[in-house]
Amino acid sequence: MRIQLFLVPLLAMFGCRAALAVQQVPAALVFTPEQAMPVEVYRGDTRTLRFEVRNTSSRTISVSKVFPRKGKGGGTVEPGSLAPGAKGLVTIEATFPEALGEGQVNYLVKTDNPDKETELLEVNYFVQSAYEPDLMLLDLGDIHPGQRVRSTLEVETRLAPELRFDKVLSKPDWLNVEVKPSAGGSDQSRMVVATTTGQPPIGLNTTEIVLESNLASDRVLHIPVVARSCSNYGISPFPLTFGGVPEGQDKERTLRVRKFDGGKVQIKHIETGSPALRVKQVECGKACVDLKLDFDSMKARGGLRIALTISFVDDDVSLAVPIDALVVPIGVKSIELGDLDTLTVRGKTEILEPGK
Amino acid sequence: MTNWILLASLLVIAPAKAEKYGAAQSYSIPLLHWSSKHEKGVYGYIIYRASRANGPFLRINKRVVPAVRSVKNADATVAAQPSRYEFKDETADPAQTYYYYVDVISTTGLKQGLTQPVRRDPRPVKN
Repeated sequence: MRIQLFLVPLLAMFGCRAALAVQQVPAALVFTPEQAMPVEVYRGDTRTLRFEVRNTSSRTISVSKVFPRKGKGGGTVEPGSLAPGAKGLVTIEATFPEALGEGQVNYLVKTDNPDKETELLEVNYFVQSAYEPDLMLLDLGDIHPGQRVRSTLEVETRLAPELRFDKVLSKPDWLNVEVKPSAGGSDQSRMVVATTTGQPPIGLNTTEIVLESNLASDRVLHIPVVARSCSNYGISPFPLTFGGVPEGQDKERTLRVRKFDGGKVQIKHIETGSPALRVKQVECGKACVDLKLDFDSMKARGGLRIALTISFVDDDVSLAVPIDALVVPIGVKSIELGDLDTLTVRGKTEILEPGK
Repeated sequence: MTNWILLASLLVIAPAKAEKYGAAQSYSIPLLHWSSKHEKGVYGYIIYRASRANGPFLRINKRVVPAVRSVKNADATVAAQPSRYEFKDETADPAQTYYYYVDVISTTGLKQGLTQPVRRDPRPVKN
């Protein structure tokens, strides 16, 4: 994914005035966590969290409900009624998300205090992965009819002397999943080998393999899987981006169409989906045609987000390629940040047969 | 993550306070030191230990050692200095040889190697 960053001057004054207009009612209930914060957990963990609650107001407060602002879950307060200065205990059953890193979940505490009917209880957390790499992907690439593809990914842990994946909980029908000993012979590593057994549905397939390990935490491992299933024709790059295009300028990109069986590329029709995009066909050798795409920024103010469709004389399946461009207004500075996803570790993918 | 490349990694095993171990000889508890120059985006540090150079290495700190600069309201003089850390391995057998290494973990939950494994031999305490 390529990201274009715009540096636009901001009027900070608006924010300041808005903040002054909000009057905050002080909290009558003060919550003190019994455990170290942020709560450090592994993906998908469920934890019982306890907080001491103290009534700092001059009236008795009864709590009717404790619940998260978003999602499922809940909590209890003992005792349900707190005299001025009295202390109680809030117990929360929290299930943490799969997303790694720092986060916060807010619980709402409903009371009969007319000055502040809802109190806020903040739970800060930090989600870790029990595995390495932390982010992983099995990218099977382009899969053509009759082709078999295999992708291999090494998964490791430092939480146990031995890592095992005892069960494949789910996988796509067109994929065979095996877990093998690591190449290095370490008991803490396992090779996850995914091999296609048939062709995935034509188009971009995003799915996952779910494995159950022997670890006490983060027991269920979700490995994302991507496969672009093609007809006899394949396209690269897929998708195609023009990135940032200064307003008033043109930009060119090339889309290569290849025929998998080595025959002549026979394009019937190209539907650009936008008057801002012109297409010219150029031969690029046997079974290959380059589509020279010229983007005219004056005809797509703001940008472009379309699907270019190519139909073929000798294939019923048309190919649709997502194409995007961002028109950068005159006077706005832009920085091309390039590919930001350098952290995901991809499996090693190889074509087994036929190897064209 | 690229900030981590700038981290100056150093792992030194120094003797800790003398502790009695066995009737005949006392050994010091392993004490790990490391420091880092840049900690932007760093949540903290994870320490691993093995009895052999080729592993298996296991994580020994249940809670992440928090990055100094992740502590809210750290003053400017603290922020300008390299952050120094020490970790006393209370779970180790002081009479045994161990290998240690440290990973850094980002605020987005991603681990990355900070140091290479370092050997620590038992250190008898002089009476």
